[in-house]
Amino acid sequence: MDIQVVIRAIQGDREAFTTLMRQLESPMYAIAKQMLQRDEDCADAMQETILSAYKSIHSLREPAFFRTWVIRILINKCNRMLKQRDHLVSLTNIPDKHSAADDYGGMELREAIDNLELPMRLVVILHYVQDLPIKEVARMLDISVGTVKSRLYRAREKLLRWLDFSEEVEDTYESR
Amino acid sequence: MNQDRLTHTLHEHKDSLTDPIPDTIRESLDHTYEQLEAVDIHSIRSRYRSRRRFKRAGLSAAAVLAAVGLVIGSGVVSPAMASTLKKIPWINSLYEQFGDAGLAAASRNGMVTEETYSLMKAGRTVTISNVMYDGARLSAVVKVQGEKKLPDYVIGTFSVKAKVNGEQGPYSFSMGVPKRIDDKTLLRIINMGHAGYDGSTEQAYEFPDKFELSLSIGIAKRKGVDNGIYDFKIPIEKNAPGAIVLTSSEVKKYDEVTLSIERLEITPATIHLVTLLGNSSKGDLFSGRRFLRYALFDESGNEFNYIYGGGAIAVGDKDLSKGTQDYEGPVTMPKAIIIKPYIWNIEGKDGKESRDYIKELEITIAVP
Repeated sequence: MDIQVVIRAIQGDREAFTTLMRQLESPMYAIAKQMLQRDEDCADAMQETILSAYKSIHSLREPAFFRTWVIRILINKCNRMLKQRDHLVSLTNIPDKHSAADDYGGMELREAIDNLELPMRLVVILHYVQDLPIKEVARMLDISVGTVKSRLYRAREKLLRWLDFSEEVEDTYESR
Repeated sequence: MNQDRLTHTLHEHKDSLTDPIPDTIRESLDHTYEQLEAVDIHSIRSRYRSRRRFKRAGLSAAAVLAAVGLVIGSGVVSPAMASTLKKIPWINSLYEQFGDAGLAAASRNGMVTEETYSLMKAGRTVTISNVMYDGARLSAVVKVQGEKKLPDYVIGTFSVKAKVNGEQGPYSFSMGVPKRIDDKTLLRIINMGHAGYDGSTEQAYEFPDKFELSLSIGIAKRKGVDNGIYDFKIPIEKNAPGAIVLTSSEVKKYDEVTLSIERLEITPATIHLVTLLGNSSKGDLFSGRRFLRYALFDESGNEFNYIYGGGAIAVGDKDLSKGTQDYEGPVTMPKAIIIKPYIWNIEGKDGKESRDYIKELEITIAVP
């Protein structure tokens, strides 16, 4: 993230703000999708986040934390929506979760990640998929670095168990 | 596979684990960026500076007020008052305490069954109770009880798989926020609604009036103790006293968009709205504003709270989509229901969220 662009955005440059937000769309969607699942809800949360961030960016004191700050706004919005609207899962409208994972290994891994509990799923997505450092993930989720590490460890343990289990099942079928 | 190999695999498949942003969301975001132009951030900033100046002076006064509030707050409900409240039958209803207004109405109208279904595994019991099915939505309370204190993650990992007469049809599903009753007990309200149409078979799909519901409740598993899966089979029968089903042949048009109401079903618990939206504008008309929503009002302008929607499914003609959405039931039967389509919007110098009603598509249905 270009700090100069963040400073321009803080000073009220709308173009600079839009440029920064466009860079964050992908991680924002990944997080909103994990938390809310329905695309309509994701769109709402992302739109509300953009608006809130734009209206309050002047209060951001540390430009280097722009990304963390935006993602925290988004997570708060998602949590609020989950509380207000109930945890909605429209089975009729869920896009194919595996559409992006067209190879077999990716599909299997994706399915295993989808089966993790939300707190573990979020740290896996943020750290491994969005490539965010552990410190930043901790700041985004408002938890300690140790908690992120332990969640990642537990997530890896579970993923390993599931992936090993599915390999065992395949082996069983193949040996029949 | 070991931890290192897994970490490598995660990095290797990073791209395939990321969903691309759908076009509809992309357009919504573009629309939001465009609307930022109308937001006057200079006035917001000057108000922020003024607030900061007042903030320090206000802190000590706020602390005094908070202390006074604590003293007054502690005596809001006296033991005598609490006892009186408990004597009112419905106040103890789980739906009255934790459900929406429609479910509370269902309790008061005798639409909730008294049967309970329990399964115990190694000192942990999952109970299904307060089943309510009014033809539009099916609700139930899931209670998880342990012999010892239940950690929050037990219900945080909660999952549900449901089948109707053994089939997993197209339905919408929602779970309420987990409620902790005491250290050992947590409960959660679940809702299911049929989508009205099965896109895979292109046939109408609704729950039958009577069926067997298979519910598989998953909570945190305990290694070597139990797998955390609790399977139930529950007989369901429609119970909707005074239900009214209305249809309308009226078709409203706005440029290349048409709207008609296929069905409006009213029970004490739920108002179930099925819309048919035609859009041959090739995406231009609602560009960036894809998600048309519907607000429901009675003849006096009272709005019915939205519960959830089953989304929209393309039917037959690719430009036509059928949408289902549910609202809390009416306290008293209205004389008419006014369906007001709108798009969610950001407007004004403060960037306030607002509804942009599309008057041309508004439909009023008289309730006999």
